[in-house]
Amino acid sequence: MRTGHAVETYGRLLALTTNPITWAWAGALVAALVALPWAVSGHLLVVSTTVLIATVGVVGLNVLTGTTGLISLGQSGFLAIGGYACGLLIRDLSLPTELAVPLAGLITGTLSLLIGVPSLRLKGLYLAITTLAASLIVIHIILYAEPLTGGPFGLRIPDVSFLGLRIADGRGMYYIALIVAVLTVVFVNNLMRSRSGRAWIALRDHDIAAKSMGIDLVRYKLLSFFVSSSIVGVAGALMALQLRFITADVFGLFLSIEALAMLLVGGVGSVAGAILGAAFIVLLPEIARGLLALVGWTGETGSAHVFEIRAVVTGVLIIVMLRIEPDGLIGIWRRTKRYWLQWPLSV
Amino acid sequence: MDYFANLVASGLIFGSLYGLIAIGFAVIYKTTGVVNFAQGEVMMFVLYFSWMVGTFVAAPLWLLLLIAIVVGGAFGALLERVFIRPMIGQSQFSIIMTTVGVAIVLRGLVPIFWGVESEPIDAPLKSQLYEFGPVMMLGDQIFALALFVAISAAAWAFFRFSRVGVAMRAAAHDETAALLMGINVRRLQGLSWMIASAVSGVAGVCYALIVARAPDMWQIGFQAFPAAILGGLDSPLGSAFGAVVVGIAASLSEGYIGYGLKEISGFVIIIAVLMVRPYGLFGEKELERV
Amino acid sequence: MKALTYVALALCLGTPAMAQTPGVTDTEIVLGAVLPMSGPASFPGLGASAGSRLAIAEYNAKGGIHGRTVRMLVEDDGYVPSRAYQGLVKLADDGILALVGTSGGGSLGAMLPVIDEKKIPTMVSTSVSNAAVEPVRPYVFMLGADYEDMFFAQIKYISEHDKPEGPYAVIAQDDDYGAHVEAGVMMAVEKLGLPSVPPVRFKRGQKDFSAEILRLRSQGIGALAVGGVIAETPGVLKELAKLRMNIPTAHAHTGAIDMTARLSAPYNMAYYAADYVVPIASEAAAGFRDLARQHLGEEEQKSLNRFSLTGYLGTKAVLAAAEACGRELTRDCLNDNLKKIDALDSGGLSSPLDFTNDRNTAAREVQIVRVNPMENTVEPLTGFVSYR
Repeated sequence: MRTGHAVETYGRLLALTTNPITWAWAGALVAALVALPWAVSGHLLVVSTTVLIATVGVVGLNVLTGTTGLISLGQSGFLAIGGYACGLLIRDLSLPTELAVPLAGLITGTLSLLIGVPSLRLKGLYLAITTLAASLIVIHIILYAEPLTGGPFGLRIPDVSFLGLRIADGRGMYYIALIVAVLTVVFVNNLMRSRSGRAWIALRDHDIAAKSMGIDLVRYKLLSFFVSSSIVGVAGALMALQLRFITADVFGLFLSIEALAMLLVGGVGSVAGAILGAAFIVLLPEIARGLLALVGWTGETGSAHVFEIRAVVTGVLIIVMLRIEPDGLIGIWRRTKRYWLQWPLSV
Repeated sequence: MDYFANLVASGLIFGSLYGLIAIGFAVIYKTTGVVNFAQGEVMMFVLYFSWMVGTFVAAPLWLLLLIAIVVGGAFGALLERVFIRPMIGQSQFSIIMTTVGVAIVLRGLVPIFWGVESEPIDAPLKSQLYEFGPVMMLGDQIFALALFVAISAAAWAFFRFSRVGVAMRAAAHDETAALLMGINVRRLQGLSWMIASAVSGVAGVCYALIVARAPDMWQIGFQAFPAAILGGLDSPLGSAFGAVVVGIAASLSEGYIGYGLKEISGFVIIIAVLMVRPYGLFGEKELERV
Repeated sequence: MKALTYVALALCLGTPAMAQTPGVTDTEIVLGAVLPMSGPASFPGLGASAGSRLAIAEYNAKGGIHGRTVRMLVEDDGYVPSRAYQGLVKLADDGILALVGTSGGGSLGAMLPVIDEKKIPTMVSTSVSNAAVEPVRPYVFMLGADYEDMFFAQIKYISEHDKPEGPYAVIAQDDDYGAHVEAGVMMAVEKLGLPSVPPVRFKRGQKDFSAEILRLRSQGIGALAVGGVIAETPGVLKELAKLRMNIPTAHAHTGAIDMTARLSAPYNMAYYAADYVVPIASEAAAGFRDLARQHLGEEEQKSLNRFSLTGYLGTKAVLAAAEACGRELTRDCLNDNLKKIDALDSGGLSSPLDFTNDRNTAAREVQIVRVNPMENTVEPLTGFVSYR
């Protein structure tokens, strides 16, 4: 535990952290992530890229649901808008990818206000189901707007480059996702410490009290929607770049549920929790596959039910996770950290 | 005119199915404040299990219905005890996510135990045609509709007049006061799950009759959401009404507009309704103290 | 810490086979398949997997292929394209000679970039998709007639034999499969100069068709093509029966499955279906069923269905081509030999397989059947005829 470190300038007050050791660890993590493609290739690289993309998505969702407390089941709809927007901007308008991705995010953010405005008066579950409804309607429109989106035939994205990295190349796509993920995490971390971030937390904890303290509910709710969906839209754009072929099926409702699971399992309200949760849920099928392989049940050994068993194991692991650690993975991390910081006097 | 009448009648059929699930949904929410995302999957599991028992005793339709109610009740109690009771005190969010986990597990278990094939119920009811003026309906559809009306009425009577029903309303309204009045709130929560699952069992039998027993039965549980939201999450009768509205709206939108709007028309409606009445048509506004 | 874990995992996976051709070692040939093995679409996936395994077991029982035992790795995509992509990358990592299971059209679309990049020999047999052969690739082959042919055949038959009085209609689900059926029917109707009404789309998985059929009745239709999978056929027939619309209906290949017929029995309506393989319960497939009893375990026998026939034939073609290469088995040799197949005996399950055409596609000949669910009969009305 650090003691005796007083903050003496505004710069140090506003910084993400003044502890040089924290910076060192963060740097080491980023370095490890940068070095990853040289240690790993093929399938694991694709999974790692998916983890990074999921991270962006869940960090975005966290802004709306974790920090502002507005439960949203609209993840799949926003991902879809981001993905299709990015794809269409690249394929039909030949925009450079570096522009298409953030633009796709902004388009998603703007469209999200269409659901944000009606949701202003809604609370809790009613809000959640409204976002669910919006998500379904978005997917439906995408499916039926064939002249624009290709409808059921899907959208194919040409092999373009982002800052010189080819999306068709496993390593290239990984680095694209890494850059976007790091930028997003830094951005959101800073946002949380800003005025908006504090307003959102106040909104979550007690909106009527917040209002009486002078926080404009409408403005901050809409801002939360906008920022959150923009980030999720960027995640959707990354998904489109990774797959190079998207259909409405790719953005099914299970993504919304998965995103909430990631948020909850990781720890609601914290960015680090969002990252951990994303990694956990993306890796869960691989963990289930590994567990079953230990017992000798692989996709090859003829048992036709291996795949369903894997799904069941995934569900069980989620339930167990929620049961044993209600604060999520970040709660486990914090407890462990506190334990070792106070050791041997820890309780 | 008979086009319209037929559309409405058809909407009523699936509306009844949604309604049976929505009632269960609302009962649980009303008593425990938990949104059971697994309602459709519970319906499916209870149906499959009851079917297995029913085939063993060569049960006719009415007996299958009774078996489903009993199995549903038992299964609901089991679910509540194993998955929900230990989560008391956790955030609503966590409990809801647990029901999602349960849904995933049940969805995976059904094909493992009972395979992936669809099985119809063999009942002469299915092909009997009835005409009510311009409206045509099949026997199994009338059966489902009748059951729905009966159960809705029973739910209304239960919550209005029976001791347990009134106790449940009291516990939902103010848990502490209910406890002070000597109501065993924990047991009531278990009971609400039993009732909801038993009703889902009935829904399952009706669905299996009209469509078939199949491992994708849980998908109609989805439409229970707009139904319950429309009627107000904490009002079983409101949810039943909401389901009817959703069913009819779906039918009418497909009949007059098209574009595959049927399945999402319910969701479109709730957005519109919630803008005007943020707690659904019959829901109670939640009062917060600052 | 994360990096270390990945390194350890990567090392644990081991290095791929030392042989130059992926999926081929001195003792083994490894095939791959990406199929929907769980979730709502598992019926075709499980069937296709069992069929492929049967073909493999048949070869292994004869001593393998030039001393190499054949194995198959299966990845489950749950009918979601993003999982198919991931699954194929994993299979490519594990090392496969060829891909014999390709799931649905959307999944195939997601896998094609990887297939193109790594030039994986692919046999598309689970479901027919134009994207596989547009453009034609020397390493991608397909088995099966497309939906245009299947419905052209039936509509032509209906127009000649039933001579319906009202316009033709199509009702199809809103995914790429349904869209292909819809396009096929509309093209057929136009080619034959028949009257039609605008197509009706429904959400995949929908069970209730009352509103849709009511609308079609108000348009006075005389014949209906149904683009569903299994449960949609009885759903539609139920509504037709309810409204006393005794019109001829045409269904896709899944119409002839006995499960579809069983579900449709209460509604007293016979219907047409078309397929490029014989119905699995028919006399013509008796040899296939015997083969399955010989080589497959009990559980896999239970998953046998119509899709096992296509999985079997597709895998058999790949293995036959591999065998023709002798011990020097390379992907190029495999592709060349597949392309050369011009009359591979399918055991009466379909027309003889011929990949020498300009679409790399075999078994394009369609057989029309009349399904009578009440008597549980499937009556072939034609032989395997080409409608090109």
